[in-house]
Amino acid sequence: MAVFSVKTGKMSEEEIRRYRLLDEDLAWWTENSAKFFVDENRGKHIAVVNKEPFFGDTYQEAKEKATAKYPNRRFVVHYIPSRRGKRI
Amino acid sequence: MIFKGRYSQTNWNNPLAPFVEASVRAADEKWIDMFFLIDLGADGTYLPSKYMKELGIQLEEARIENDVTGVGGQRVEYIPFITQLKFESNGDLRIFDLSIGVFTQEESLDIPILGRDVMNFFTLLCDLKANLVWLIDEADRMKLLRFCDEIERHVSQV
Repeated sequence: MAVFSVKTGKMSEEEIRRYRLLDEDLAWWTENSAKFFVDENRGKHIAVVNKEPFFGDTYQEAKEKATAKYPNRRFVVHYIPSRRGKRI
Repeated sequence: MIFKGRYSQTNWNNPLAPFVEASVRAADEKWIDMFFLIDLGADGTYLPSKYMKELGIQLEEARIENDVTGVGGQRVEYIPFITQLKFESNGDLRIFDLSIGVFTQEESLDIPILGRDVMNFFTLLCDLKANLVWLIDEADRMKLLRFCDEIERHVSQV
């Protein structure tokens, strides 16, 4: 894969506000993710918005649940692997 | 400019790994937020197949390549997706125009990975105990290197 060009820019006040909310949710996820790595969550997708997890069997399902409650928030959909194992 | 990430889990009881948030532009121009595993062992940046729909990739119309190999030496199929990748910081942003590989098979990859195609544009500072993951760009890199020189001089004098 290749990078063709790189540019820099400034965020608006509204973009900064929305990004900070996303960042707070990412901080919450990294502090709390261990409790989601349990057998019942194998293969689940988890969207986190406003420190609230939304579970789905697919990326789309988790996204739709999160968007239904928080239509204007940014979020990341995390994934709990279906198998325990090492990664290289 | 410093883009800050975090250590997070990749699987049960595995050592924590450095992640950073970045957004990928979909075919409909929307930005999709993702939490990327920083993988300096990967030549490129790749996404799992579940993002194909979200990014608006039509599998039947896409060009498929298979020059990626990993453990076991298997060649796996992916779609080279020409897009943009956006990093945000406290008021600053950096946008890469690039090609990202999107795997076609679910079992090929389960989380987004950020490879050296992008990471070679940054200096990476990681410290698990401080939960510090910093992607440092050119201007701040020079400050960091001057600071490293000072530390080296100090250490050599002790």
